[in-house]
Amino acid sequence: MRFITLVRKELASIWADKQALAIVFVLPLVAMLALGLTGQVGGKMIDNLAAGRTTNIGVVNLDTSVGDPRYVLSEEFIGILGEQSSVSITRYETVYAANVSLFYEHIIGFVVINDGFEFNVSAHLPAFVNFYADALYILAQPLIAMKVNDAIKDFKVAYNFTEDEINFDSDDRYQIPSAVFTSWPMVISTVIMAAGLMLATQSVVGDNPIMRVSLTPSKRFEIISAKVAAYTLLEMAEAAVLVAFPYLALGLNFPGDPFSAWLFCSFIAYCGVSMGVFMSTLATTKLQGSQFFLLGFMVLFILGSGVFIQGLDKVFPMGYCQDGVKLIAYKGVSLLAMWDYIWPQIAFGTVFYVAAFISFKMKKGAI
Amino acid sequence: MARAAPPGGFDLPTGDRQVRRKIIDLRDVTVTVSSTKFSLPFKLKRTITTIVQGVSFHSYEGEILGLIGESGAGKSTILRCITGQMKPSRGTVSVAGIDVVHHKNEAIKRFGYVPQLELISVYDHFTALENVYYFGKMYLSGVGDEQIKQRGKEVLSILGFKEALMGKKAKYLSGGEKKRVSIAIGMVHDPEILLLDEPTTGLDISLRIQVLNYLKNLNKKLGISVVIVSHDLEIAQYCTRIVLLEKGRVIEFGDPEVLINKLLPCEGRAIKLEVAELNEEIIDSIRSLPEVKFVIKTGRNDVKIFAEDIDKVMISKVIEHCDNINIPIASITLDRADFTSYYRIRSKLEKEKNQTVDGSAQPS
Repeated sequence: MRFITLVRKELASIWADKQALAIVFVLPLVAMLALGLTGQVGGKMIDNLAAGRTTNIGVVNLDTSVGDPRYVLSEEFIGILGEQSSVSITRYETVYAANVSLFYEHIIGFVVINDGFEFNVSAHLPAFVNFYADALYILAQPLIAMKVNDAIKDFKVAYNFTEDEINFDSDDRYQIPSAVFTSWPMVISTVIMAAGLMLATQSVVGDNPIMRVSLTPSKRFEIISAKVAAYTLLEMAEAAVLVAFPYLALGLNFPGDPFSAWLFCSFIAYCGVSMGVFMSTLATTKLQGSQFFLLGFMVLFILGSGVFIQGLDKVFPMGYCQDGVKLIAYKGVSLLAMWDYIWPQIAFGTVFYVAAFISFKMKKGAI
Repeated sequence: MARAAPPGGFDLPTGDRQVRRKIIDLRDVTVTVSSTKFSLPFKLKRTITTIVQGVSFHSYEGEILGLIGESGAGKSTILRCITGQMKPSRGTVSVAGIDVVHHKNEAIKRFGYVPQLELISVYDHFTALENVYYFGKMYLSGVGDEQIKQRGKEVLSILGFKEALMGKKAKYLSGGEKKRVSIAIGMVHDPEILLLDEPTTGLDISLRIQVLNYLKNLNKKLGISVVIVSHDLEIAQYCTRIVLLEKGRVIEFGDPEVLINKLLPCEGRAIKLEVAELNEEIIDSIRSLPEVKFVIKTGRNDVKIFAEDIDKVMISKVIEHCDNINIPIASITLDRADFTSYYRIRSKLEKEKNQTVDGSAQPS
């Protein structure tokens, strides 16, 4: 009963800070949009950004081959590219000339149609179109990619090419409704872990009367457990926003069960919160709490990626969450079959939960 | 003293209140702390410091005990020993008959604690009543919400809170109101003893008196024993018993009246003299009267005079003396020594005694 009181007190404290609460729920949405910029929603954003502007693209046709005698297919392709919305084509004889033009920013990039294009396309063999973009103009690459991609699609439709004659697009085996959500599992695992860590690093050090509470019959174990439970519940609410957003706001339907995906997120929430509470017990000032958050964030997201030290990604929990959410939401795997992805997260969280209790037990904050 | 029945009739560890028993009992309490310093080239130096030495005192139930001393006297250390936050190196501490060192969890239920700073005892984002409720629920987890709220309202009412003020968030309360919320938190579980750490620090004079009066009121109405730790000598007039601490030792212990009578002549009676313009020469000249034992300055232009006999004859002598040295008297009245006067005279005597031992000066 006392534990329930402590959890209620924690939740009431969180509820009282409406501004922080608003950030908790706005943060995941902002993160989702920001991290999903490269996908379809991002594409639409780029379209909007580019709307009203003319996209100047250079074209260099190096093709000397002969294919279907009825058409000059390389020129047909260039014509279709020029018909794409807002595209303006500038022709160049050589790659050098296009490069000079790019240097002086007359164009944002250029497309090179390689020799053999017509022959290969007519023979249903792969033909390649290369493009080069101005790396200093951040939207150049996605813009050209999008326009060339659309031109390829239109070209294939217009001339009845049904195979991979122009191999430009990537091939995703598991197609999902919107490209933005390729990053969704990564966003979920990152945001919940980071937000849990961030909030919980202030949970003990920011709770000024906590030592007064420890002078009641409440056990220190109960105090720490209540913190972990309350903040995990808060993170679950945040996870609900992250999971519900694509379903409700964007009208997208994944094959998997959203409720299972949400429940699965509780484990990463537990990990972030436990680690944060532990760090908060180590901190003696709120500033230290913030610094501990940064430290934890760096360790988790740089070392935990496994890029620098191979195998560490198997210790840190975000990878398990990311892969697990993919399996549940995109492939419809049952939560009950996810044990291999659940137990490493429980283990990680519990290590920090126990460490938090030991650290708080040893804390000498007499009042 | 009869205690008010707890609302809802829940069982509390109240013990036998009919028998006058020791509610606080410290015997030969010594606290030492060790610190280790590291210095190059790779030397570890361990220092052991004695903070409190051989402290013994007690208080009976229903009493108000004042633990008075200057900063560094060991007051807070002793309070931490009483609350179980610190273990004494030697000696025993018992609260309501429970050994705090060995049965801390049981002892915690018997006392209410009011820390010095409200920042560490009151949640700013909760209302006064919510604060009392949550802390009450931590003590009385099996008791219903309504009963605890009722108890909270009862205590807050005694502490002068109206219904509207109870529903106000703590961050919008004044310093004195917050202090009273903190006291209510300490009282909500109906403890046998209330421990207060510097309850008047940081409050202006009227709030200080207000808080002390509320404590007296709690003591009277609920029969609760109170321990006040303070450097504020003003609290002594509210205390049944005083422990004077200096450098970790008890230098005086007892009823403040008895202490005053023991030190000062004529049972602490004094003459209060106010003149037009007071200076050290006038004080010295009054001090030179053969009957006068002590003279202390109590205001800008007034002094308290302690003599073997305080009567009309003595008053006449003082008036005559002032006439002789051409000092116009603004007022002259009969007064009594308060604890501040006692403390100042005691300190002065102690200082003179030490100087005599050192041989550096003669007593005045």
